[in-house]
Amino acid sequence: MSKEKIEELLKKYWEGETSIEEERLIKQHFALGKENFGYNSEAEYFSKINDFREIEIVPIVKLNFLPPRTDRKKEKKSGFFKYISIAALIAITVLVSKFTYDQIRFKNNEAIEMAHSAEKDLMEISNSLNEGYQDHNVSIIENRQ
Amino acid sequence: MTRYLRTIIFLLFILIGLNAPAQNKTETEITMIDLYFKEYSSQPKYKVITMNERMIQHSNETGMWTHPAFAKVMKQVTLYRFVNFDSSPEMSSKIVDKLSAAVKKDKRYDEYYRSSTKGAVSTLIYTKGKKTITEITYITIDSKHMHISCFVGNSIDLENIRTLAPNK
Repeated sequence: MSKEKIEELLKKYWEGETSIEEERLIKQHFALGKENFGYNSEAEYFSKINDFREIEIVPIVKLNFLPPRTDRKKEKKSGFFKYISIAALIAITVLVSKFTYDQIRFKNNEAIEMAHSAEKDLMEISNSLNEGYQDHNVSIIENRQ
Repeated sequence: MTRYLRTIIFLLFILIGLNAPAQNKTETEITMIDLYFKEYSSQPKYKVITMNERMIQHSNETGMWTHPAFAKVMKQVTLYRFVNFDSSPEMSSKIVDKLSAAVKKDKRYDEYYRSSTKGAVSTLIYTKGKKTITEITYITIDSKHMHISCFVGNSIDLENIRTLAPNK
């Protein structure tokens, strides 16, 4: 394409008056890396547009939202473990609550029993000590006599 | 999967961690039972029961004692431990002889009181500590059983214990 033709087409292009065919000619000219006649910025601009065209537009319908079959199996598997984990968590919570409750109840009963046992032992120690002191005093009196 | 496993393992560790402090045994908890009676653990109906400081404190705070005189004594006690087991008169006699010899040799305890019935030792009281009594051990023996109880504390007043019977 001649310089004049390029000038004319670019002018029309920037004024928005080019036809699709004319635009295609301009893009083709700059995309092929032909003489740009000093229109460096325009050449860069149209080459960029060309680059954009190379980006593949994937139709939405082609997008695969569902994971591949193998992944779906994995997903199912992890779902299974999720339920197992929830069940285990509930079981642990119930067991811990029961264990804690039993432990508190047991500790209370145990504490009462132990308190009684301690009192019984202390009373027996007290009686023994009193007997001991009494015997000791009696023996002192007997010795004095 | 590993994420859930990790959660379960983490929870298990927390549970183990929560129970761990209760199982700690400190040096201060060593009693005459631990020193001289562990070797009889194979005896029938051998059973050790411990009331630790926390439980004693709880009993003191909740007024679990049937008389204030007990509360007064138990305020000086940080550990109460007792053991029961079946023992024939011959076995009991051997245990008492062995214990007396060991106590004389170790010099950790002093024999405070001894009484006999029909020629056999029926009651023994040992104390630990010279200036202040840090442990009182009470041993009773009948024809079938032995009962040993230890009261541990920083300073146990024997007079407090002696006056329990007349005061109650």
